[in-house]
Amino acid sequence: MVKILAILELTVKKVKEPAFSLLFVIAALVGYSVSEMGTLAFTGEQDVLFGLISLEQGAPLLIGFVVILFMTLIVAIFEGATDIPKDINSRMILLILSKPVKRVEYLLGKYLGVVMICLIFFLIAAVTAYVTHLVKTGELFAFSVIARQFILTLVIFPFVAMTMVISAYLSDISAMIVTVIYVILSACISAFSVLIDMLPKSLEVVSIIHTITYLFPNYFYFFSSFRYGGIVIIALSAYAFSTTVIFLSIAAFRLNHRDMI
Amino acid sequence: MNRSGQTQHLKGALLIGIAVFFCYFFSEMVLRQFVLHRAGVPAISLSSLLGKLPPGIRDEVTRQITIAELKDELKAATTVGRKITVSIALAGMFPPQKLQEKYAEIIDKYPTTPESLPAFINFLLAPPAALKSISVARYHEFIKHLDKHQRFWAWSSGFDKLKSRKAAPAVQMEYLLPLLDVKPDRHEYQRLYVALSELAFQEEKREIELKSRKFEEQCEQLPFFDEQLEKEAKARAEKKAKAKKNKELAEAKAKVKPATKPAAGGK
Repeated sequence: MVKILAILELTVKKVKEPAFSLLFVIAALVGYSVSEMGTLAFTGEQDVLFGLISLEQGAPLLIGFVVILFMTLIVAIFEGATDIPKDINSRMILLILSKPVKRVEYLLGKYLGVVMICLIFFLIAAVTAYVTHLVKTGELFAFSVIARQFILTLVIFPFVAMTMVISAYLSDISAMIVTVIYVILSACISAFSVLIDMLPKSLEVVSIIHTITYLFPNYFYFFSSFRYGGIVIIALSAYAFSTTVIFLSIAAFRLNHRDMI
Repeated sequence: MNRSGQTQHLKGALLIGIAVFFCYFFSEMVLRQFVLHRAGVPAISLSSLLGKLPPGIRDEVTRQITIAELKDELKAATTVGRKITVSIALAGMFPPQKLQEKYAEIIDKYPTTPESLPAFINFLLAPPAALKSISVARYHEFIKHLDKHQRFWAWSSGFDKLKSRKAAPAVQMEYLLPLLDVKPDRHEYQRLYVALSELAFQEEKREIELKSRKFEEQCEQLPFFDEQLEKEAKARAEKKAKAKKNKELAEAKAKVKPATKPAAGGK
């Protein structure tokens, strides 16, 4: 555990670099500019997103925080997809692995470090948005509303794990491109599979699509609203956790078997 | 790490893997159901999505969906009648030969089930090249298994079929003759009696013609089917309203009784 924390510290230390300071300024600016956006809502049955995201129950999702999350995910792609390839290219990984650190520990440390950076970005933007909203309108968000916005951060965990899997196989630029393509594919297939669910079961295509669906995480689930006391929040947490573990296992398998030179 | 340690390590990894995959599939299923069914109502209507497709694709997709829906319905059907109805509808989605085969199969399997009526109509006096041919006598026998609402449709559709097959007037008359032995129960039968009278006139069967004319007059006095249905629905509604009123009265009486008792006891 100490070794994982050491790698984490090494990763998060990058925050001190001027590029990251600029990134956090951007986060604050994003937070400021989205502070007055309304709640997420879809126009009705005609809207396909209406079918993919349930917003009828529980605290509302604020568009501003959704924008902040998207910005955070962009940071996650940049950070997650480049961190390990950079270490391999610079031979830094050999230096780390020459110490009594297992490859899995290195991966977990890197993963937690990138997650931490993303969470800091999200937090800075979210706090700025919250404070700006308070100053401009004098209105305080209810605790349940704030909690719902922070539950959005659950998506960061599988998302970063996914980028790390791809970065374990490819070089940094390729990993970034493939990650973006994979995310777009995930969104399309998730949407398609939910729509397919409305079709009769006898349609042969249904089972094929369902099988393919399990190869892609469905990020739409994280944007639905729900009651905090229900099974949905447990399922959502379990979903985030299990997809993260699956992705990290694949990345660990790859790192254990790949040549680092 | 020794061999037994490795095996244990592998077993542990396998167990964790199973647990994680179970967690993944189960949570995915819960979330999917949550998104798909909000308070038991499907979130998006299929028709609104199909409406967005280009017409050429939409027709084919709609056809495929209808076929799949019918297949699902056939699997879920619990009664023989429903099975027959759905299987006919399903066969109708394919080239005509398949429907003919299905009709023939239904006649063999369910010769007395009322829902087999379309199959009997289809093969009534069919030409020798057809898969099957049903004689007028067998058709009459089948009609006996139908209820009074289905009977008119059976008589009428059978007669239209004979006309479309250009059956001889004598055969058409033979087909309609049993109608002289039953009491008509709706106005629509008049059409068949008129046809029978005309056929009897052509065939110079005076007695039959006269009898048929009488039935024609009788039908004139009878209500049309939709009027009959309206009457029945009205009677049902009145009965229901009466029952509700009686129930309310009974409840009101029951409420009044306990209120009066203590007063009497107090004296």
